[in-house]
Amino acid sequence: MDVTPLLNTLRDRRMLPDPCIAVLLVGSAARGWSNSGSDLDIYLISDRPWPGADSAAIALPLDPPQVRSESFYLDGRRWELTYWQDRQVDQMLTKISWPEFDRDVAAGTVLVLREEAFLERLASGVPLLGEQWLTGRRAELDASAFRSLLITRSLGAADDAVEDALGQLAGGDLHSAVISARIAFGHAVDALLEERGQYGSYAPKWRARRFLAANPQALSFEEYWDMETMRGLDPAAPEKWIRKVLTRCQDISLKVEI
Amino acid sequence: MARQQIGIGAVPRRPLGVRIRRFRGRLLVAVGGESYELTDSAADIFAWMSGSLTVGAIGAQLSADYGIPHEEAVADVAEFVSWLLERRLAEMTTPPPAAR
Repeated sequence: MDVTPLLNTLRDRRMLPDPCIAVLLVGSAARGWSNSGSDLDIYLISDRPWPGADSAAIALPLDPPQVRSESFYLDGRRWELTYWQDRQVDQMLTKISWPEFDRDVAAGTVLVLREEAFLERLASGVPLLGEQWLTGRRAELDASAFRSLLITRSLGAADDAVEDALGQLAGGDLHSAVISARIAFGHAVDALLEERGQYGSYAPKWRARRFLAANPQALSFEEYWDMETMRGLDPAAPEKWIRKVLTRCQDISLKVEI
Repeated sequence: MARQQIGIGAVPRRPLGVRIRRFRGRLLVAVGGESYELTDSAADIFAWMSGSLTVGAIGAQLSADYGIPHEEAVADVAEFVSWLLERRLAEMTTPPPAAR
């Protein structure tokens, strides 16, 4: 991917921080999954706050407790820029360290969504500037408990939904049980994909894309897609489908290594 | 309480509500707030309890994988399934026609 035009646009519009540690194209465009309606998401890393007077603040549980965001349209496409400070990256990596993981803090409460998205995008982003910085940060991410943390959260969420489905089945609430089973399956598949380094479960719209990228051995794409699209569900007698899906969730739990 | 006797044609399966984790090479199972760590062979037996294999078939698999005599393996499986039943970590299902 030729990223020079992107960088030139940012430079021409005076939207690069000074000093600039790294600029990353992230999100669907970085993964090759974007379409004509997709935003261009870009992260800019500096060791100073972004001074842009028109920028919006986004609150985060970090120090400083916010990042700044700028957006503009160019040729009908929306550019979304987020300015991070390098020490905020340090703090996010500390949150997912092994000592923190071993403290048994509830996995779903360690990171807020924007932090999780940042770390996921660190793994998949394309550098416009700062390739060496990105390589180093990726090594830190790989050595962290990020993967284990996400798997733990996804399996926990799957278990909770399985429990819901079984309770609803027992109570004769079949409609709710179908929905709970489908939710459980989504979380179980997310765990399977996270085990193989395909993060981003906060955006289920990309699950099929992530599945194909992960190519897990424990579940074929065909079987995954059948369940994702609820093929085989008999609306008049959904119990068989529900039990099949819940069984598959348990099979996945047996195979995924945290 | 006497432990339930499990026949060779019995078909055990994992109850759907059991929580399972593979963590740092160990298999942990939990139900009703109680959790247990399974040994490697117990973890294998538990994994094979999909509701399609009889105790005899699981014993044959155990015998082949761990190199222990078939009769001893079947007895170990029956004993372990009985232990799981007491803890609600297993339930019995109807054996498929071919296994009866």
